[in-house]
Amino acid sequence: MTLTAQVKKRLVTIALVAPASLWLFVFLVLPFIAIIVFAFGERGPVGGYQPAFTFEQFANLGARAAAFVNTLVLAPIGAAACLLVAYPVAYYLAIKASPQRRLLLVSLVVVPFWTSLLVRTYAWMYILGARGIPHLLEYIGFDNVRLLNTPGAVLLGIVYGYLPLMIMPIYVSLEKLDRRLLEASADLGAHPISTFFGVTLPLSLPGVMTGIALVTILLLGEYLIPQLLGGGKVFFIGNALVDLFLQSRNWPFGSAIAVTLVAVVVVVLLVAMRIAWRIAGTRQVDLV
Amino acid sequence: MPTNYTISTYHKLGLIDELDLSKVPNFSQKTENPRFTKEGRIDGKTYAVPKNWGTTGFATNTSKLKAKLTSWKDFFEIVQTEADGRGMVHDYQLTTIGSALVSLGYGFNSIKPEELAKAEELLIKVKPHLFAINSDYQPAMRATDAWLTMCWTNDGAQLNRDMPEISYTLGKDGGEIWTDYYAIPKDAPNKAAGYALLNYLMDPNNAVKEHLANGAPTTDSRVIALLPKEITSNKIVYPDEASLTPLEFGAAVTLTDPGRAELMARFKSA
Repeated sequence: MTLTAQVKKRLVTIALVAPASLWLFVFLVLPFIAIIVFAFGERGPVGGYQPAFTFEQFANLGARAAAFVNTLVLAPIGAAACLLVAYPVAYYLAIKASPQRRLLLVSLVVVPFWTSLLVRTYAWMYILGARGIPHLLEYIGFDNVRLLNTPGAVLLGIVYGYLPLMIMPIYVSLEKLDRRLLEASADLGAHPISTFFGVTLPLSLPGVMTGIALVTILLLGEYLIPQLLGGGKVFFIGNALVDLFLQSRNWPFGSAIAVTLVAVVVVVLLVAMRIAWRIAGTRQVDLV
Repeated sequence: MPTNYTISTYHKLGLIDELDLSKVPNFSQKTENPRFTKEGRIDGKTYAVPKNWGTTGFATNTSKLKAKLTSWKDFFEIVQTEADGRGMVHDYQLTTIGSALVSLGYGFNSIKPEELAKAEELLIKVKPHLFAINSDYQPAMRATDAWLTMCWTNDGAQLNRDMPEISYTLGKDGGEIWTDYYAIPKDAPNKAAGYALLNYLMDPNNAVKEHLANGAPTTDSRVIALLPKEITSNKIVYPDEASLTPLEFGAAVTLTDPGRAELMARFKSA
């Protein structure tokens, strides 16, 4: 390759990468630097930020320990519940559905994304509220049943909201599965159940891990669903951040919590990738 | 639209400008009730003019709850018993902690650590019995998901107007009285339009329409004169003077006190 060709190639690369890099730099890296600076500052006398260099905010993280614990418990439970519901759907779409119907069904999975999660969660508030299902239950003799603002309502909202994000990666990995392996397993006398656990499930694990990582990371920052379907009684890191920035206006402490949350997300992601790589052996895993 | 207890802080931080009252000829100091206008003035200068006033009491669905509640002490007791799973408190430290303090016989604005500790103990004991911690309580009250909630005058008037079984009560042991104001931010990009809007809103003929829609009482006697009888005689909107006596205006420090903010966070995460 001549020098000019090399320069040209490099320029093309820069031109292709520049828009996304610039976007991320301005809207992700710079704000994150600001948050790190804030995290070492002090709360002003009536709130906000006051320049300082102190580790006080990080030393105080224990004051929001409950929010971290709630979040770190909810996120994996929510992801596991999503997985239990999503796997059979993805399996049906990839293995059982006829190719003609598959396209229609896969597009139906993403239809909910046409409306904002906020609007859909509000819809659940009315379905679960006293004028919704509990009202129908009154006709068969169950008075004053309360569904809204319960842990079950939060879990339902989470599974509903994040299901497509779990179905899609599992569907993709199952669709790539070589059907001859399933036939070979059957020819060698394996029961369909042992074929599933011995062949299908292990080969779809990269998709499963991608789905779990995707849903878990998003759940770590969840605010809306516990607020609307949990009545604000369950306190997650997202809720703690909203209060610290908007109500008590303790920006430095809120920043320290945000930085810690990002660190937790990075650790979760690294662990998930490591597990996925180990499961997938030497194969490349298409993680997020 | 700052509430009374925020104006001195906004002034201290230089966020709001002194109002040029010559640009608001419809505002009339003479017809304003001084009880509700004094916090808009600092060092003899007017920084904010009142929008309306109100109280923080509680709304009860009387078709669901048989108990007669008259105080914040009753509120916190019924929330744990007859209204178990059906009561709401604000997602706002000023009123939630303030009302808990009042129910224990302390002042609404207390920042004394030992009194706050007692309020925290009460709130944490009450929390498992609550339907929600949320300041948007109208949907839950209208759907009858919630039967009892902390409530501001205007919401109480709206709920009672549409559902007469929902009553509004002021704590006989105390609680909050407030004034909401209009102010103009120092760096507002179009102050001329701000003054034009303010002057429009201060015209009693316009203010009365806002009053009828929103439900909160007016501070201006010119507006009272334009109101229909059923509003001026509505005890939710214009309660007897005696029921206002135990109420307190929120103080600036109550809102900015870090101790109260942390208490609220512990309550919500408990």
